[in-house]
Amino acid sequence: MVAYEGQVTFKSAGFGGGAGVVAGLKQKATGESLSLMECTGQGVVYFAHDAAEVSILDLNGEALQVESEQLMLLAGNLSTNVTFAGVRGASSGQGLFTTTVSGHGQVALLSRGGPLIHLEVSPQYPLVVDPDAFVCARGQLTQSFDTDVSWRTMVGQGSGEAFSLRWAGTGVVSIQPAER
Amino acid sequence: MFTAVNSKVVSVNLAHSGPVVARRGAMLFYTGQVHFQPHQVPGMGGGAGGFGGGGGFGGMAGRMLSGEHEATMIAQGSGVVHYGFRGIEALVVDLGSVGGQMRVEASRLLAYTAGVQASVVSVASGAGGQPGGGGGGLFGALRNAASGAMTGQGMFTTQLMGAGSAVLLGHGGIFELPVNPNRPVFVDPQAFVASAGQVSSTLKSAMSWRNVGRGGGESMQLECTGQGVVYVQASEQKL
Repeated sequence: MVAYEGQVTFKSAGFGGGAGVVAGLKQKATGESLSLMECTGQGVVYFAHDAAEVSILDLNGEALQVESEQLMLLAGNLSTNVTFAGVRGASSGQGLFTTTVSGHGQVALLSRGGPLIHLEVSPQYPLVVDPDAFVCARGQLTQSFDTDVSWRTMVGQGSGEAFSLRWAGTGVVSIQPAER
Repeated sequence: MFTAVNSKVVSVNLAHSGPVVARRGAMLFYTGQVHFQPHQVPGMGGGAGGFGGGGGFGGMAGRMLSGEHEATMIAQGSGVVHYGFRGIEALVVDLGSVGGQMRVEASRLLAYTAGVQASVVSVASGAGGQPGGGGGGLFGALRNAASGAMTGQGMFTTQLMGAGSAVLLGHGGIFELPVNPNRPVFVDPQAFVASAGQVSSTLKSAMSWRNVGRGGGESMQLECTGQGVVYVQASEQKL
């Protein structure tokens, strides 16, 4: 929050970010921590975080997989959960788990370096993204982990793009124009 | 008088604007005949030469206490000077359009024309003569000192008066919020950049014993009341 008008109170959404104790335990265990606060009352609230760009997404009952650190705010009737994302993160530092937001409402996401770039994925055209640039994904998607480690990497002549995320199926993957 | 070159750089033609005071080291390049000299805001204490300068030891102490001690320089001559600071977005504000009065954190002030009267004032003495919410007297002063220490805002702020223009710095850009008597605005102290017009700001605490440990992380807010404009940056980062 950077500013507000009217009568607004801020309170910690509590352990688990308002999603319950089980969710809180999951977050603690998986490292996909989500420290949220709840704004209630009447008025206009202005949000910003560390000069990052903000993109707003509308969710209509679908599930959005998002990096928890890129999630800025969500409307009160959306729920979050931590799900297993596959064995992608062990070496990319992104973790094995991801945060899922589902329900009906708006989500605001942070992106570094510029607005989010939405990339469409279709069965004919799978998409490979840098794990450090990945922000969120929605749709019927499966992700896998691509490695490009060869003898060159071993002798220090790697391209610097040894690990990448491959998305297949139908949906939209959003990336930011910067690497974490 | 200042011209925005892009969102982060401003230029000024000294022949039109007269001398310009800017944060020391913020000059990027200039053309023409320009001289830079150290400059001190009156009331801020000693000059660059140590204790002996204008305000003497008392002024020095006051300056250290206030935290409003950004080193400034004055550019004189004729030519065009470009200013920018650490890649932070800059906003040009014409003081004439905001009632000739503005209060800004010294660390958020990039430059202003020397025709503007700058002074360091206590936050507690609200704009327009009425005292701020900290309350008068010694107790009020103590409370303001405590709140300043808590938010890192300090007890003092730089006041600009008169005709001219100023350039503000805001990490992530600055947006303006109008304030009028029946529409107060609450601002995160770290996101607060400046206020213009007859605006007084008081620190408000949303903490109570009931919500210790379960507050929303927004326990302190600056309540801006009066008539004018508040400038807020899109970040909680300090300079």
